[in-house]
Amino acid sequence: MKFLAVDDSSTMRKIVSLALKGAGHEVTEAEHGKDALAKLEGTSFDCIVLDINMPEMNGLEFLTARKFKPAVAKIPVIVLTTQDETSMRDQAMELGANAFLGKPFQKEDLLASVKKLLGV
Amino acid sequence: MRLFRFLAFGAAIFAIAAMVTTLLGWSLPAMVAMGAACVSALSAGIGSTLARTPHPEEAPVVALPLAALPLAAAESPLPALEEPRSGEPLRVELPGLSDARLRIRFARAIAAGVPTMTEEAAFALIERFENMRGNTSKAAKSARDFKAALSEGQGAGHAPVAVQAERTRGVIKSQRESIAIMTDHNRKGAKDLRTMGNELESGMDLLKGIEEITERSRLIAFNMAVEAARIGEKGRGFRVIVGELRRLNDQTVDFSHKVSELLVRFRDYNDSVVARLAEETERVAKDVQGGMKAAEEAVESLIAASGTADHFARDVSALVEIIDKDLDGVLESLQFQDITRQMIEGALKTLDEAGLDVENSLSTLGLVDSGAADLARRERIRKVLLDRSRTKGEKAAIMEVKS
Repeated sequence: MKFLAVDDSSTMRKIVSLALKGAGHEVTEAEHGKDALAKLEGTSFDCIVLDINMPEMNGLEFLTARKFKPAVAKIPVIVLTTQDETSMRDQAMELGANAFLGKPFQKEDLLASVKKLLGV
Repeated sequence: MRLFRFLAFGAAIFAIAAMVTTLLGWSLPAMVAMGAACVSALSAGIGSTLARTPHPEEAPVVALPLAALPLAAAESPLPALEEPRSGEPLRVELPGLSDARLRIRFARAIAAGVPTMTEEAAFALIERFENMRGNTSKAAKSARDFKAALSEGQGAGHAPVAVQAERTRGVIKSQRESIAIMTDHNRKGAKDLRTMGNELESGMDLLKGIEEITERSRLIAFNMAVEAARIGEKGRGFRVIVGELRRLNDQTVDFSHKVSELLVRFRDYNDSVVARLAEETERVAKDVQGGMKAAEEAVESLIAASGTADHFARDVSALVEIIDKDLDGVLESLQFQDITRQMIEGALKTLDEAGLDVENSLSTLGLVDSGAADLARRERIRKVLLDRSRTKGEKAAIMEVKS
Protein backbone atom coordinates (compact mmCIF):
# COMPACT_ATOMS: atom_id res chain seq x y z
CA MET A 1 0.00 0.00 0.00
CA LYS A 2 1.13 3.58 -0.69
CA PHE A 3 1.08 6.05 2.19
CA LEU A 4 1.58 9.81 2.38
CA ALA A 5 3.05 10.87 5.74
CA VAL A 6 2.37 14.58 6.37
CA ASP A 7 4.23 16.17 9.28
CA ASP A 8 6.41 19.25 9.69
CA SER A 9 8.78 17.29 11.91
CA SER A 10 11.22 15.28 9.81
CA THR A 11 11.86 13.03 12.83
CA MET A 12 8.18 12.21 13.12
CA ARG A 13 7.93 11.59 9.36
CA LYS A 14 10.82 9.15 9.59
CA ILE A 15 9.23 7.38 12.57
CA VAL A 16 5.92 7.01 10.74
CA SER A 17 7.80 5.80 7.64
CA LEU A 18 9.73 3.22 9.66
CA ALA A 19 6.57 1.89 11.25
CA LEU A 20 4.76 1.58 7.92
CA LYS A 21 7.74 0.35 5.88
CA GLY A 22 8.31 -2.31 8.54
CA ALA A 23 4.86 -3.63 7.67
CA GLY A 24 5.75 -3.69 3.96
CA HIS A 25 4.16 -0.41 2.85
CA GLU A 26 5.56 2.35 0.65
CA VAL A 27 5.78 5.83 2.19
CA THR A 28 6.12 9.30 0.65
CA GLU A 29 6.73 12.27 2.95
CA ALA A 30 5.23 15.77 2.90
CA GLU A 31 6.17 18.69 5.17
CA HIS A 32 2.74 20.33 5.47
CA GLY A 33 -0.76 20.43 4.00
CA LYS A 34 0.20 22.37 0.88
CA ASP A 35 3.10 20.04 0.19
CA ALA A 36 0.75 17.10 0.66
CA LEU A 37 -1.80 18.51 -1.81
CA ALA A 38 1.00 19.04 -4.33
CA LYS A 39 2.19 15.46 -3.89
CA LEU A 40 -1.35 14.14 -4.22
CA GLU A 41 -1.60 15.73 -7.67
CA GLY A 42 -1.02 13.00 -10.19
CA THR A 43 0.06 10.37 -7.70
CA SER A 44 -2.34 7.94 -6.15
CA PHE A 45 -2.08 7.01 -2.48
CA ASP A 46 -4.00 4.47 -0.45
CA CYS A 47 -3.85 6.34 2.85
CA ILE A 48 -2.74 9.66 4.36
CA VAL A 49 -1.19 9.97 7.84
CA LEU A 50 -1.73 13.57 8.85
CA ASP A 51 -0.35 15.82 11.60
CA ILE A 52 -2.44 18.78 12.79
CA ASN A 53 0.04 21.48 13.85
CA MET A 54 1.97 22.42 10.76
CA PRO A 55 3.08 25.64 9.08
CA GLU A 56 1.73 26.78 5.69
CA MET A 57 -1.37 24.60 5.89
CA ASN A 58 -2.28 22.74 9.04
CA GLY A 59 -4.03 19.40 9.25
CA LEU A 60 -7.52 20.82 9.71
CA GLU A 61 -7.06 23.15 6.74
CA PHE A 62 -5.84 20.21 4.70
CA LEU A 63 -8.92 18.18 5.65
CA THR A 64 -11.13 21.10 4.58
CA ALA A 65 -9.28 21.56 1.29
CA ARG A 66 -9.40 17.81 0.67
CA LYS A 67 -13.20 17.87 0.62
CA PHE A 68 -13.12 19.88 -2.61
CA LYS A 69 -10.85 17.43 -4.38
CA PRO A 70 -12.89 14.31 -5.21
CA ALA A 71 -9.84 12.20 -6.00
CA VAL A 72 -8.21 13.09 -2.67
CA ALA A 73 -11.42 13.07 -0.63
CA LYS A 74 -11.83 9.33 -1.01
CA ILE A 75 -8.36 8.55 0.38
CA PRO A 76 -8.62 7.53 4.05
CA VAL A 77 -6.89 9.85 6.54
CA ILE A 78 -5.35 8.88 9.86
CA VAL A 79 -4.75 11.94 12.03
CA LEU A 80 -1.65 11.71 14.21
CA THR A 81 -1.26 14.61 16.62
CA THR A 82 0.01 15.72 19.99
CA GLN A 83 -3.28 17.58 20.34
CA ASP A 84 -5.23 14.47 21.18
CA GLU A 85 -8.01 16.19 23.07
CA THR A 86 -11.61 15.14 22.46
CA SER A 87 -12.50 18.49 20.90
CA MET A 88 -9.71 18.14 18.36
CA ARG A 89 -10.69 14.55 17.64
CA ASP A 90 -14.30 15.62 17.04
CA GLN A 91 -13.22 18.47 14.82
CA ALA A 92 -10.93 16.26 12.74
CA MET A 93 -13.53 13.52 12.40
CA GLU A 94 -16.16 16.06 11.38
CA LEU A 95 -13.81 17.28 8.67
CA GLY A 96 -13.55 13.77 7.30
CA ALA A 97 -10.66 12.10 9.11
CA ASN A 98 -11.14 8.34 9.34
CA ALA A 99 -8.99 7.60 12.38
CA PHE A 100 -7.40 9.66 15.14
CA LEU A 101 -4.28 8.78 17.11
CA GLY A 102 -2.36 10.77 19.72
CA LYS A 103 1.40 11.25 19.76
CA PRO A 104 3.47 9.48 20.86
CA PHE A 105 1.77 6.63 19.07
CA GLN A 106 2.45 2.93 19.27
CA LYS A 107 3.26 1.11 16.06
CA GLU A 108 0.60 -1.51 16.80
CA ASP A 109 -2.09 1.18 17.10
CA LEU A 110 -1.10 2.75 13.80
CA LEU A 111 -1.04 -0.62 12.05
CA ALA A 112 -4.36 -1.55 13.65
CA SER A 113 -5.90 1.64 12.25
CA VAL A 114 -4.41 0.85 8.84
CA LYS A 115 -5.82 -2.65 8.99
CA LYS A 116 -9.22 -1.36 10.00
CA LEU A 117 -9.28 1.21 7.20
CA LEU A 118 -7.58 -0.70 4.41
CA GLY A 119 -8.02 -4.29 5.47
CA VAL A 120 -4.27 -4.98 5.33
CA MET B 1 11.89 64.59 47.00
CA ARG B 2 13.26 61.35 48.26
CA LEU B 3 9.80 59.85 48.24
CA PHE B 4 9.24 61.10 44.69
CA ARG B 5 12.40 59.41 43.43
CA PHE B 6 11.51 56.18 45.13
CA LEU B 7 8.04 56.27 43.63
CA ALA B 8 9.64 56.75 40.20
CA PHE B 9 11.65 53.54 40.72
CA GLY B 10 8.62 51.73 41.98
CA ALA B 11 6.61 52.88 38.99
CA ALA B 12 9.28 51.62 36.60
CA ILE B 13 9.41 48.17 38.20
CA PHE B 14 5.70 47.75 38.40
CA ALA B 15 5.23 48.99 34.84
CA ILE B 16 7.22 45.95 33.71
CA ALA B 17 5.38 43.69 36.09
CA ALA B 18 2.08 45.10 34.88
CA MET B 19 3.00 44.32 31.33
CA VAL B 20 3.83 40.71 32.13
CA THR B 21 0.86 40.12 34.39
CA THR B 22 -1.52 41.81 31.96
CA LEU B 23 -0.25 39.43 29.31
CA LEU B 24 -0.89 36.57 31.68
CA GLY B 25 -4.26 37.96 32.79
CA TRP B 26 -3.39 38.08 36.48
CA SER B 27 -5.16 40.14 39.16
CA LEU B 28 -3.78 43.28 40.83
CA PRO B 29 -2.40 41.69 44.03
CA ALA B 30 -0.76 39.07 41.90
CA MET B 31 0.63 41.86 39.76
CA VAL B 32 2.19 43.48 42.80
CA ALA B 33 3.77 40.24 43.92
CA MET B 34 4.83 39.47 40.36
CA GLY B 35 6.49 42.86 40.09
CA ALA B 36 8.77 42.09 43.00
CA ALA B 37 9.32 38.50 42.01
CA CYS B 38 9.98 39.36 38.38
CA VAL B 39 12.66 41.89 39.15
CA SER B 40 14.12 39.65 41.79
CA ALA B 41 14.24 36.71 39.38
CA LEU B 42 15.70 38.68 36.51
CA SER B 43 18.38 40.07 38.75
CA ALA B 44 19.35 36.66 40.14
CA GLY B 45 23.04 35.97 40.13
CA ILE B 46 24.20 39.51 40.27
CA GLY B 47 24.32 39.79 43.99
CA SER B 48 22.05 40.85 46.71
CA THR B 49 21.89 44.37 45.48
CA LEU B 50 21.74 46.26 42.20
CA ALA B 51 23.75 49.12 43.57
CA ARG B 52 26.97 49.90 41.77
CA THR B 53 29.58 52.63 41.98
CA PRO B 54 28.86 55.40 39.45
CA HIS B 55 31.49 56.45 36.94
CA PRO B 56 33.04 59.74 37.92
CA GLU B 57 31.81 61.38 34.73
CA GLU B 58 28.31 60.04 35.09
CA ALA B 59 25.55 61.74 36.95
CA PRO B 60 24.90 60.33 40.42
CA VAL B 61 22.92 57.19 40.23
CA VAL B 62 20.30 56.13 42.65
CA ALA B 63 20.27 52.36 42.79
CA LEU B 64 17.35 50.48 44.13
CA PRO B 65 18.32 47.74 46.56
CA LEU B 66 16.05 45.09 45.17
CA ALA B 67 16.99 42.53 47.75
CA ALA B 68 15.50 44.83 50.30
CA LEU B 69 12.30 45.05 48.32
CA PRO B 70 9.68 42.80 49.86
CA LEU B 71 7.86 40.35 47.62
CA ALA B 72 4.51 41.73 48.65
CA ALA B 73 5.56 45.36 48.33
CA ALA B 74 2.06 46.61 48.83
CA GLU B 75 1.97 45.20 52.32
CA SER B 76 5.35 46.54 53.52
CA PRO B 77 6.74 50.03 53.76
CA LEU B 78 9.10 51.04 50.95
CA PRO B 79 12.77 51.34 51.89
CA ALA B 80 14.16 54.82 52.34
CA LEU B 81 16.60 56.15 49.74
CA GLU B 82 19.36 58.67 50.10
CA GLU B 83 18.79 62.18 48.88
CA PRO B 84 21.03 63.06 45.85
CA ARG B 85 23.29 66.07 46.09
CA SER B 86 21.45 69.28 45.41
CA GLY B 87 21.46 70.53 41.79
CA GLU B 88 22.56 67.24 40.22
CA PRO B 89 20.22 65.47 37.74
CA LEU B 90 18.81 62.15 38.83
CA ARG B 91 19.76 59.15 36.69
CA VAL B 92 17.85 55.98 37.33
CA GLU B 93 19.29 52.63 36.55
CA LEU B 94 17.78 49.17 36.68
CA PRO B 95 20.84 47.00 36.31
CA GLY B 96 18.81 43.91 37.18
CA LEU B 97 16.64 44.37 34.13
CA SER B 98 19.66 45.13 31.98
CA ASP B 99 21.21 41.91 33.26
CA ALA B 100 17.99 40.07 32.59
CA ARG B 101 18.00 41.39 29.03
CA LEU B 102 21.50 39.96 28.53
CA ARG B 103 20.76 36.78 30.41
CA ILE B 104 17.81 36.12 28.12
CA ARG B 105 20.19 36.40 25.18
CA PHE B 106 22.58 33.94 26.76
CA ALA B 107 19.74 31.61 27.70
CA ARG B 108 18.44 31.76 24.15
CA ALA B 109 21.88 31.02 22.71
CA ILE B 110 22.26 28.01 25.01
CA ALA B 111 18.77 26.66 24.40
CA ALA B 112 18.88 27.34 20.65
CA GLY B 113 21.30 24.48 20.13
CA VAL B 114 19.04 21.98 21.86
CA PRO B 115 16.47 21.39 19.08
CA THR B 116 19.20 20.98 16.48
CA MET B 117 21.17 18.62 18.69
CA THR B 118 18.01 16.72 19.59
CA GLU B 119 17.09 16.35 15.95
CA GLU B 120 20.60 15.26 15.02
CA ALA B 121 20.58 12.72 17.85
CA ALA B 122 17.17 11.49 16.73
CA PHE B 123 18.36 11.08 13.14
CA ALA B 124 21.48 9.22 14.28
CA LEU B 125 19.30 6.98 16.39
CA ILE B 126 16.88 6.41 13.52
CA GLU B 127 19.78 5.48 11.25
CA ARG B 128 21.01 2.95 13.80
CA PHE B 129 17.46 1.82 14.29
CA GLU B 130 17.13 1.15 10.57
CA ASN B 131 20.41 -0.79 10.57
CA MET B 132 19.33 -2.82 13.58
CA ARG B 133 15.91 -3.50 12.10
CA GLY B 134 17.63 -4.63 8.89
CA ASN B 135 19.93 -6.93 10.85
CA THR B 136 17.15 -8.34 12.99
CA SER B 137 15.09 -9.00 9.86
CA LYS B 138 18.04 -10.89 8.35
CA ALA B 139 18.57 -12.82 11.59
CA ALA B 140 14.89 -13.68 11.77
CA LYS B 141 14.93 -14.92 8.16
CA SER B 142 18.07 -16.98 8.76
CA ALA B 143 16.53 -18.50 11.88
CA ARG B 144 13.34 -19.31 9.97
CA ASP B 145 15.29 -20.86 7.05
CA PHE B 146 17.47 -22.82 9.47
CA LYS B 147 14.47 -24.10 11.37
CA ALA B 148 12.74 -25.00 8.11
CA ALA B 149 15.83 -26.90 6.94
CA LEU B 150 15.86 -28.78 10.23
CA SER B 151 12.20 -29.60 10.33
CA GLU B 152 11.28 -29.79 6.65
CA GLY B 153 14.50 -30.71 4.87
CA GLN B 154 16.17 -28.78 2.09
CA GLY B 155 14.13 -28.81 -1.07
CA ALA B 156 11.75 -31.36 -2.48
CA GLY B 157 12.52 -34.98 -1.71
CA HIS B 158 14.72 -34.14 1.26
CA ALA B 159 13.59 -35.29 4.66
CA PRO B 160 14.25 -33.16 7.77
CA VAL B 161 17.67 -33.61 9.32
CA ALA B 162 16.24 -35.20 12.45
CA VAL B 163 14.19 -37.66 10.39
CA GLN B 164 17.19 -38.47 8.20
CA ALA B 165 19.31 -39.04 11.29
CA GLU B 166 16.64 -41.31 12.78
CA ARG B 167 16.49 -43.27 9.55
CA THR B 168 20.27 -43.60 9.48
CA ARG B 169 20.19 -44.82 13.04
CA GLY B 170 17.69 -47.50 11.97
CA VAL B 171 19.83 -48.47 8.97
CA ILE B 172 22.91 -48.79 11.18
CA LYS B 173 21.02 -50.95 13.63
CA SER B 174 19.81 -53.19 10.83
CA GLN B 175 23.32 -53.41 9.34
CA ARG B 176 24.76 -54.23 12.72
CA GLU B 177 22.30 -57.10 12.99
CA SER B 178 23.16 -58.27 9.45
CA ILE B 179 26.86 -58.22 10.27
CA ALA B 180 26.21 -60.21 13.43
CA ILE B 181 24.26 -62.80 11.44
CA MET B 182 26.99 -62.96 8.81
CA THR B 183 29.68 -63.35 11.44
CA ASP B 184 27.67 -66.11 13.05
CA HIS B 185 27.30 -67.86 9.71
CA ASN B 186 31.01 -67.59 9.09
CA ARG B 187 31.78 -68.98 12.50
CA LYS B 188 29.45 -71.87 11.84
CA GLY B 189 31.08 -72.40 8.42
CA ALA B 190 34.51 -72.47 10.03
CA LYS B 191 33.25 -74.96 12.54
CA ASP B 192 31.89 -77.18 9.73
CA LEU B 193 35.18 -76.94 7.89
CA ARG B 194 37.02 -77.93 11.06
CA THR B 195 34.66 -80.91 11.38
CA MET B 196 35.47 -81.81 7.80
CA GLY B 197 39.17 -81.54 8.66
CA ASN B 198 38.60 -83.97 11.47
CA GLU B 199 36.82 -86.31 9.03
CA LEU B 200 39.87 -86.07 6.78
CA GLU B 201 42.07 -87.00 9.71
CA SER B 202 39.84 -90.05 10.22
CA GLY B 203 40.20 -90.89 6.53
CA MET B 204 43.96 -90.69 6.88
CA ASP B 205 43.76 -93.08 9.84
CA LEU B 206 41.77 -95.45 7.65
CA LEU B 207 44.51 -95.26 5.01
CA LYS B 208 47.03 -96.28 7.68
CA GLY B 209 44.85 -99.34 8.30
CA ILE B 210 44.94 -100.11 4.54
CA GLU B 211 48.75 -99.78 4.62
CA GLU B 212 48.93 -102.30 7.47
CA ILE B 213 46.65 -104.67 5.57
CA THR B 214 48.80 -104.24 2.48
CA GLU B 215 51.94 -104.93 4.50
CA ARG B 216 50.43 -108.07 5.90
CA SER B 217 49.21 -109.07 2.42
CA ARG B 218 52.76 -108.48 1.14
CA LEU B 219 54.08 -110.75 3.91
CA ILE B 220 51.52 -113.43 2.95
CA ALA B 221 52.53 -113.08 -0.71
CA PHE B 222 56.19 -113.52 0.27
CA ASN B 223 55.37 -116.66 2.23
CA MET B 224 53.25 -117.90 -0.64
CA ALA B 225 56.19 -117.26 -2.99
CA VAL B 226 58.47 -119.25 -0.68
CA GLU B 227 55.94 -122.13 -0.59
CA ALA B 228 55.48 -121.95 -4.37
CA ALA B 229 59.27 -122.20 -4.84
CA ARG B 230 59.43 -125.18 -2.52
CA ILE B 231 56.82 -127.20 -4.40
CA GLY B 232 58.74 -126.58 -7.64
CA GLU B 233 57.14 -126.79 -11.08
CA LYS B 234 53.73 -127.39 -9.59
CA GLY B 235 53.84 -124.09 -7.86
CA ARG B 236 54.62 -122.08 -11.05
CA GLY B 237 51.00 -121.01 -11.63
CA PHE B 238 50.79 -120.16 -8.00
CA ARG B 239 53.91 -117.93 -8.37
CA VAL B 240 52.14 -116.02 -11.15
CA ILE B 241 49.23 -115.40 -8.75
CA VAL B 242 51.66 -114.36 -6.02
CA GLY B 243 53.37 -111.97 -8.47
CA GLU B 244 49.98 -110.42 -9.30
CA LEU B 245 49.21 -110.21 -5.62
CA ARG B 246 52.53 -108.41 -4.99
CA ARG B 247 51.79 -105.99 -7.86
CA LEU B 248 48.34 -105.41 -6.43
CA ASN B 249 49.90 -104.79 -3.04
CA ASP B 250 52.35 -102.30 -4.56
CA GLN B 251 49.55 -100.54 -6.42
CA THR B 252 47.48 -100.46 -3.27
CA VAL B 253 50.38 -98.96 -1.32
CA ASP B 254 51.02 -96.48 -4.10
CA PHE B 255 47.31 -95.58 -4.28
CA SER B 256 47.13 -95.37 -0.51
CA HIS B 257 50.15 -93.01 -0.47
CA LYS B 258 48.65 -90.84 -3.16
CA VAL B 259 45.28 -90.70 -1.38
CA SER B 260 47.06 -89.97 1.88
CA GLU B 261 49.05 -87.14 0.28
CA LEU B 262 45.85 -85.78 -1.26
CA LEU B 263 44.08 -85.94 2.07
CA VAL B 264 47.01 -84.21 3.79
CA ARG B 265 46.99 -81.42 1.20
CA PHE B 266 43.26 -81.18 1.46
CA ARG B 267 43.43 -81.11 5.27
CA ASP B 268 46.18 -78.47 5.22
CA TYR B 269 44.20 -76.39 2.75
CA ASN B 270 41.09 -76.84 4.86
CA ASP B 271 43.01 -75.84 8.00
CA SER B 272 44.37 -72.74 6.30
CA VAL B 273 40.91 -71.83 4.96
CA VAL B 274 39.42 -72.31 8.41
CA ALA B 275 42.14 -70.21 10.00
CA ARG B 276 41.86 -67.47 7.35
CA LEU B 277 38.08 -67.48 7.49
CA ALA B 278 38.08 -67.16 11.25
CA GLU B 279 40.71 -64.46 11.17
CA GLU B 280 39.05 -62.48 8.34
CA THR B 281 35.62 -62.85 9.86
CA GLU B 282 36.88 -61.51 13.17
CA ARG B 283 38.74 -58.68 11.51
CA VAL B 284 35.87 -57.68 9.22
CA ALA B 285 33.38 -57.96 12.07
CA LYS B 286 35.63 -55.86 14.28
CA ASP B 287 36.13 -53.24 11.54
CA VAL B 288 32.47 -53.12 10.65
CA GLN B 289 31.44 -52.97 14.28
CA GLY B 290 33.93 -50.14 14.81
CA GLY B 291 32.62 -48.28 11.75
CA MET B 292 29.06 -48.88 12.87
CA LYS B 293 29.86 -47.53 16.31
CA ALA B 294 31.45 -44.42 14.80
CA ALA B 295 28.48 -43.96 12.45
CA GLU B 296 26.10 -44.51 15.33
CA GLU B 297 27.93 -41.93 17.43
CA ALA B 298 27.90 -39.54 14.48
CA VAL B 299 24.18 -40.04 14.05
CA GLU B 300 23.57 -39.59 17.77
CA SER B 301 25.62 -36.38 17.65
CA LEU B 302 23.66 -35.28 14.59
CA ILE B 303 20.37 -35.94 16.35
CA ALA B 304 21.59 -34.05 19.44
CA ALA B 305 22.93 -31.21 17.24
CA SER B 306 19.64 -31.10 15.38
CA GLY B 307 17.80 -30.69 18.68
CA THR B 308 20.22 -28.00 19.86
CA ALA B 309 19.99 -26.23 16.51
CA ASP B 310 16.22 -26.31 16.72
CA HIS B 311 16.37 -24.72 20.18
CA PHE B 312 18.92 -22.23 18.89
CA ALA B 313 16.71 -21.24 15.96
CA ARG B 314 13.78 -20.81 18.33
CA ASP B 315 15.92 -18.73 20.72
CA VAL B 316 17.11 -16.53 17.85
CA SER B 317 13.51 -16.00 16.72
CA ALA B 318 12.46 -15.12 20.27
CA LEU B 319 15.44 -12.78 20.65
CA VAL B 320 14.66 -11.05 17.35
CA GLU B 321 11.09 -10.58 18.52
CA ILE B 322 12.28 -9.01 21.79
CA ILE B 323 14.72 -6.74 19.95
CA ASP B 324 11.96 -5.69 17.55
CA LYS B 325 9.70 -4.83 20.48
CA ASP B 326 12.54 -2.88 22.10
CA LEU B 327 13.11 -1.07 18.82
CA ASP B 328 9.43 -0.17 18.75
CA GLY B 329 9.96 1.24 22.24
CA VAL B 330 12.86 3.28 20.85
CA LEU B 331 10.52 4.66 18.18
CA GLU B 332 8.15 5.73 20.91
CA SER B 333 10.97 7.35 22.89
CA LEU B 334 12.06 9.17 19.75
CA GLN B 335 8.59 10.63 19.51
CA PHE B 336 8.89 11.94 23.06
CA GLN B 337 12.25 13.41 22.09
CA ASP B 338 10.69 15.10 19.09
CA ILE B 339 7.79 16.41 21.15
CA THR B 340 10.35 17.78 23.65
CA ARG B 341 12.22 19.41 20.78
CA GLN B 342 9.04 21.12 19.64
CA MET B 343 8.35 22.25 23.21
CA ILE B 344 11.84 23.74 23.44
CA GLU B 345 11.25 25.54 20.16
CA GLY B 346 8.05 26.91 21.66
CA ALA B 347 9.93 27.93 24.81
CA LEU B 348 12.55 29.66 22.65
CA LYS B 349 9.84 31.69 20.95
CA THR B 350 8.49 32.70 24.35
CA LEU B 351 12.01 33.56 25.47
CA ASP B 352 12.42 35.75 22.39
CA GLU B 353 9.18 37.49 23.21
CA ALA B 354 10.24 37.95 26.85
CA GLY B 355 13.56 39.40 25.65
CA LEU B 356 11.74 41.77 23.38
CA ASP B 357 9.40 42.77 26.18
CA VAL B 358 12.30 43.55 28.52
CA GLU B 359 14.07 45.38 25.68
CA ASN B 360 10.97 47.47 24.98
CA SER B 361 10.37 48.15 28.65
CA LEU B 362 13.91 49.38 29.15
CA SER B 363 13.61 51.43 25.99
CA THR B 364 10.32 52.92 27.16
CA LEU B 365 11.93 53.88 30.45
CA GLY B 366 14.94 55.26 28.59
CA LEU B 367 17.20 52.83 30.37
CA VAL B 368 18.78 51.05 27.42
CA ASP B 369 22.48 51.00 28.03
CA SER B 370 24.44 50.14 24.95
CA GLY B 371 27.82 51.58 25.72
CA ALA B 372 30.86 50.41 27.60
CA ALA B 373 28.77 49.65 30.67
CA ASP B 374 26.64 47.22 28.68
CA LEU B 375 29.75 45.52 27.32
CA ALA B 376 31.21 45.20 30.81
CA ARG B 377 27.91 43.84 32.12
CA ARG B 378 27.73 41.28 29.30
CA GLU B 379 31.28 40.08 29.91
CA ARG B 380 30.65 39.82 33.64
CA ILE B 381 27.55 37.68 33.04
CA ARG B 382 29.42 35.64 30.44
CA LYS B 383 32.15 34.90 32.97
CA VAL B 384 29.61 33.82 35.61
CA LEU B 385 27.80 31.61 33.11
CA LEU B 386 31.05 30.12 31.78
CA ASP B 387 32.16 29.29 35.31
CA ARG B 388 29.06 27.30 36.02
CA SER B 389 28.54 25.78 32.57
CA ARG B 390 28.95 22.02 32.47
CA THR B 391 29.15 21.15 28.79
CA LYS B 392 31.30 22.13 25.85
CA GLY B 393 28.22 23.00 23.81
CA GLU B 394 26.97 25.31 26.56
CA LYS B 395 30.35 27.06 26.74
CA ALA B 396 30.46 27.47 22.96
CA ALA B 397 26.95 28.94 22.92
CA ILE B 398 27.86 31.36 25.73
CA MET B 399 30.99 32.45 23.87
CA GLU B 400 29.04 33.14 20.70
CA VAL B 401 26.77 35.77 22.26
CA LYS B 402 27.62 39.22 20.93
CA SER B 403 26.00 42.63 21.21
